[in-house]
Amino acid sequence: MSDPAFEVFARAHNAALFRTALLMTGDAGLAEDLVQTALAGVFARWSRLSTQDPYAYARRVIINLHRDRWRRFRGREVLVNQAPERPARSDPAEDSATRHALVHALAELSLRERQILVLRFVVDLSEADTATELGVSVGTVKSTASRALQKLRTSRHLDWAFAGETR
Amino acid sequence: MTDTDPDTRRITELLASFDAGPTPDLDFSYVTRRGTRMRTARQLEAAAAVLTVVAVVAGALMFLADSPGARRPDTPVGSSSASASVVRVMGTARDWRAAVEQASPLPGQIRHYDDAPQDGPFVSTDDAAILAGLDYVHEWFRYTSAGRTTAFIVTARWAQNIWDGLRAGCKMSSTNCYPERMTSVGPVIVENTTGRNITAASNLRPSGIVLTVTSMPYDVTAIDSTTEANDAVLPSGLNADQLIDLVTSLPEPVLGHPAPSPSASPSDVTLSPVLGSGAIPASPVVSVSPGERVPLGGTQYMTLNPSQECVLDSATPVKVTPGTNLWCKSLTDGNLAPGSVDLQTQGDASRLLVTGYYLGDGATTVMVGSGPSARVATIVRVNGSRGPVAYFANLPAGDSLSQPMTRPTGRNVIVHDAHGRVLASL
Repeated sequence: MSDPAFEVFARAHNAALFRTALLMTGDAGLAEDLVQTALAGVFARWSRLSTQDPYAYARRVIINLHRDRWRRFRGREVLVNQAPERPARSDPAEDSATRHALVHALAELSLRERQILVLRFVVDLSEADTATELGVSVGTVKSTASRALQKLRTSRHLDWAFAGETR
Repeated sequence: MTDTDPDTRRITELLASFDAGPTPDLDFSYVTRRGTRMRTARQLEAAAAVLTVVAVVAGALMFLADSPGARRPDTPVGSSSASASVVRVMGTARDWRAAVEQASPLPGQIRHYDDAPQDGPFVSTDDAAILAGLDYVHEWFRYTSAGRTTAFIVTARWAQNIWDGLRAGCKMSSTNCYPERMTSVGPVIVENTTGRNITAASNLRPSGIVLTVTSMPYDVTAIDSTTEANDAVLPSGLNADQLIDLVTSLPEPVLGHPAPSPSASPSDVTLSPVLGSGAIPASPVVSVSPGERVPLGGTQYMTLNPSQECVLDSATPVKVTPGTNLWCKSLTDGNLAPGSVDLQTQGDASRLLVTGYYLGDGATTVMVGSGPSARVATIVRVNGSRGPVAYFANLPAGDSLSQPMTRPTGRNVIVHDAHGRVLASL
């Protein structure tokens, strides 16, 4: 039996959850699966969550499920070794190329680095909230984010992003 | 790199403006059907838990009624069938490798893989001091035979419920699981990840160890040569029944490594004493066994052995890959000349932690900083060793030592012997 309020919630947050899951997993199919599982979990607890923060709950489900899967299947994820073509600035496919470049660059980070960057800069949580969400210290969030940004800064997948700029 | 440099800003802008492209349509009826099933399962589990408690209480009452004032001789005091405690099984990577090789059907052909990216509260390491701060150990072993690759994954957990994680994974549509089955050596879950053609059988042993055997369509030799998962595809490996037979017949790894002492509890930070004027005082000395933890204040601690000095944080998940341990420094790799002293700083809002080591004999005082604000560091040495010593000191937050570009050369750390002679400085 559906609940109109849940339906409104699910449709309103589907895109944001998918965006988070895609950056976390790098795999659109898996991201879609994670989002559906998370939303099903929210629906199962809707009577309680509807008065709390169901979006945060769904986000945590995505992070936890992906972490569990990653632990089990680490090392089996096939990384793409070829950097994408650098998009021309006026290229109509630039959005798609940017998307793929970011996903590939993030895929080269560790799971924790990816989690922290996505929560800090995509979901836009504070350092303290990111630390709480992941159960780590604020210092860990800061140092890991700094290290991860440095890796992205030198990622071959993002070379094009700095083209023409003094580095 | 700081948050304000243009490159970092560019990256954070890219992340913030990330466009995931078209969002897949939400299959709303599927979501609500699954949600309803999950809710029903949760309610059934809750009801079963209540019934279990009722049964245990009823059994206890009947037992008391049967034997007033008496205890059956075969019933241990304090035992309870309602709660199973998790046994903390400890072992280094070397222990686990030996145990799995002994347990595997192809001893001598097993390859241990610890070069995959690792993160979170599990780790592959031979450092027992690091293991003591973890709540999850996860080791991978693989072999390829007759064109088929099989992996053994051995997981020990004491703080996390891996089994519930496995069950949760079964609820995902990309994973098909057989109904959980009970065997004489504990429950077994068989899962198949669609699209990747990976089948895994996992078995929860009473000790809390989870043994998993998977049949993977990958060739180990490809991974050997690239160190990344650039896997060649092979035909499918063992089927589900063969995997179940294999995982339930594996002896549980028995680890001979003693459990390390409990980790130090987080301690408050006490600033190191100011040197003051007059004679140079001797540094406090902490003598430790190799690998023993020395609290540094807060959640940080140091370990020292004759070949390695580590500064670790029990609140931070450890990432360790052999050869690339970011938290430890080798005392024997030749990076520091004999008779020299080393310095590292790390600060937060409450203090500046200064650590390092001196490669030489006879150090009795390590001074950190110079002038009236200089402080006496604590020396850490391995029991019975006259060789390299480590040191640490807690300085006020924002001390000038935290500025590597402006701090004065030769006056940041000074090592003295018992006669006040300078042995080394930096």
